[in-house]
Amino acid sequence: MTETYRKWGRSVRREGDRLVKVDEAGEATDDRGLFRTRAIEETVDLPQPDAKSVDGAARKIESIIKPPLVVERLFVSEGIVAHECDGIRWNETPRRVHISIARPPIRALIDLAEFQFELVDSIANALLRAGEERAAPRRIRLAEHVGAALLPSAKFDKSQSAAPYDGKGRPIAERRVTSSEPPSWFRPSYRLRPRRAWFHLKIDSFGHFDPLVPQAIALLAPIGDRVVRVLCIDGDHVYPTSVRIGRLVAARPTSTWYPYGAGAFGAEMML
Amino acid sequence: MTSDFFAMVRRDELWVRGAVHESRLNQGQATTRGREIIGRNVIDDAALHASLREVCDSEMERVRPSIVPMREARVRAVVTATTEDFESTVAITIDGISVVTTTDRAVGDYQALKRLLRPPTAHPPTRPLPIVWRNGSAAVLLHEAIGHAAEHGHAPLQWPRWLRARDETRDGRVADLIAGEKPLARRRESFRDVPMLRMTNLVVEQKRAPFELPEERIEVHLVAGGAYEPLTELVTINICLADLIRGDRTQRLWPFALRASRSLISGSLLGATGDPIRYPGVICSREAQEIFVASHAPVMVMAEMA
Repeated sequence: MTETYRKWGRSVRREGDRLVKVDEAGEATDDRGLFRTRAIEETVDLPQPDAKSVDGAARKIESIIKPPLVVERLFVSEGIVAHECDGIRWNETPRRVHISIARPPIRALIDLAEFQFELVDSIANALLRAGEERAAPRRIRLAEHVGAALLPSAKFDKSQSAAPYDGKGRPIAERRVTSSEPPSWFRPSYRLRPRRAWFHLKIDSFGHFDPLVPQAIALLAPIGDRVVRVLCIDGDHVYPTSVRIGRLVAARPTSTWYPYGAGAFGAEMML
Repeated sequence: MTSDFFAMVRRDELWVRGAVHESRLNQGQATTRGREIIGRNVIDDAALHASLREVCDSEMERVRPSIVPMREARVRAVVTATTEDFESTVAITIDGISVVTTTDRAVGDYQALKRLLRPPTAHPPTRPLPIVWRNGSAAVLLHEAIGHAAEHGHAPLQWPRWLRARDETRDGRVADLIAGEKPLARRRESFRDVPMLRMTNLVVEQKRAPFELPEERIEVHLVAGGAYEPLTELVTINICLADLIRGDRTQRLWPFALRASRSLISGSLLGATGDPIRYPGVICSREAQEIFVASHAPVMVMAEMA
């Protein structure tokens, strides 16, 4: 049986100082394992994404980051997308922000799914105060966005949250994440073969947070194998450190969704 | 055609054990107006579209007979025809080790890869040893340490006087990377992307370099990837195929990573011999845009790095 997926999209993104507007439509078919994709000319009526809003968000971020900090990388985008898979149609309007703020020799990485600036502001302020590298504190709290980045790969107790559509237009059911094959399909682009993935991960809530424990407020590198590089606030001190991903002593989910893997909700953690 | 217009057609096929598993046809155009790039996956000029499509289709027809017999490999052929360029690459992977080559060299490189592969028998030595970069692999080291440093506008270093490193665009323009000149070609992965100054054809040469083969050494044949960290000027090379040589004894090493600052690398090059050798494959990734960079370097020897 042949599965046919179509996608129509309009997007605007700020990449560095360029504003890139792309209209695109494509089709992917899977015929007993042979995966084919092609551009299609058939159109659907989609509104234009808000270019002013995208440019405005990028400008706002640039205004926050002042010397000696440097905007090493800035992507701000908004898309309006229609999907169709074997007769099921659905839409989405994703927003994405990716920022790399450098203060050599370190950089903070921020990934967001909304145009919000408080987090960028607080990380920029912390970077300005950052001192020399230190050993990781005995205990550390991870801010919700740092914990969210850990969720797709770390083996903590977590659940998949319900949502109307996966990459094949099927409902995503709420269920516990196990080591077995994920039931839903992730399709970040029509040009990529869909793969099974756990969606919209949410950490299980448990334990007690000690507010005096130092807090990791920014990622300084993509999540590594058992180690995470973070910017840590410890009283009056701010420093980069490498934290071994060990035993979790407390966790609490938040309602903010982050674009890590096939999606992860904010996860405050204490290691 | 003005220089602010770009159009492309790309055909991409993945073959596994002699059968096609994935096939993509991708097309589009981009127009730059001031700081705006307007991209669509339609090419308005029907004649241009047809001609780019014809170039891609006929090249893919030419590639397939070479890759179908590669039954022990996973092979991805990518053919791209644009208003600026034409590129045809074949990536061949066996047991997780890849080379990237051209249509004409694909069969030879597939056979060479099969000959090179054998199971590792030794762990990388715990003490540093000199490294001999064979098979053009020094081009990957210097792609990171010289090429990317130049792309980022980092100050030139004192490299050995016998070393030359240049990037050549397809139309013959040359940037002296050792002098810190940036590559001259603006390249992009697709019509969706922002063009950037990127390397096209890296050529490393030696002029009357000394060369002495250390008795005990590591010989590198293939690398899995490399990276240049612009904030720290640290180079990482993931070496996937190398031998430990002790006199007459040769042992295949497990994959390992080499990490060093570019200044340490510049001070560690001891010598080189012969003409530049084509290294089979550098897919360079920057700002999420993957681009093929042709790479050539002579056999080069580097001191042990503590």
